[in-house]
Amino acid sequence: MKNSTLGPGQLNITQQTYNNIVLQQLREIWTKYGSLDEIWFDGGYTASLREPITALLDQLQPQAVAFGGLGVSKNPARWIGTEMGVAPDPNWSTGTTNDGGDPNSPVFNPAECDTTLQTHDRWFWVYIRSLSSLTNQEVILYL
Amino acid sequence: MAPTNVSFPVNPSGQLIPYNYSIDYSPMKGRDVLAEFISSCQKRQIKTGFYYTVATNTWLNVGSGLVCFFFFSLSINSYSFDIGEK
Repeated sequence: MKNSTLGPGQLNITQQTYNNIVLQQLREIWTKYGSLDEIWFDGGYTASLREPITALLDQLQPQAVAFGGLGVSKNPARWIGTEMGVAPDPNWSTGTTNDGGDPNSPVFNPAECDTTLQTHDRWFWVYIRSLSSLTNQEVILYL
Repeated sequence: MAPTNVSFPVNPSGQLIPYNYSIDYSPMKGRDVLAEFISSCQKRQIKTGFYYTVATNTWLNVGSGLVCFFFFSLSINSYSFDIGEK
């Protein structure tokens, strides 16, 4: 069944094989390029990888801020909830939700407000998109 | 982009194949362009970043960290690079 649903060039592997690939490649990129300031867990991680990623991170890059890393790192940072470069006000350094945070939460998990240089929340280059205006970039930078 | 020495078995034959979606299978074989990039930036005190996701791998039919995710969610596949997946 799985083979018949694969697109051209795609390979059929098991979940365990994929998990093994991820852990081996994390070890490679967390070993070969020095001390990393920040590691993004974009899209998070699956439940079955939580424990091995926690151990690997603690062993190889314990100092790194871990975006989306609540649950695998002692230094997590949370997403602000949009990619428009604008954060809610007030904005607390504690909390576990992707918004302005929670002043009563015991979890230190400050927000990161990522945004694109192009319009329409577009990260990768596409010819029909234009760059966000310089004025808009400056407004975002100083907010 | 990154050099990798990982090999893995395909299903169901178990045949071991190298992870060949890597710079070592391009004309730039043998060069660690990530290390060159870092070295170049450090000369001007520019901090660096890489993008590696554990959640999406189209070659291996993985979405949201799960193999065969796209089989069930074909409509999401076409937008997966378009939206900020957090």
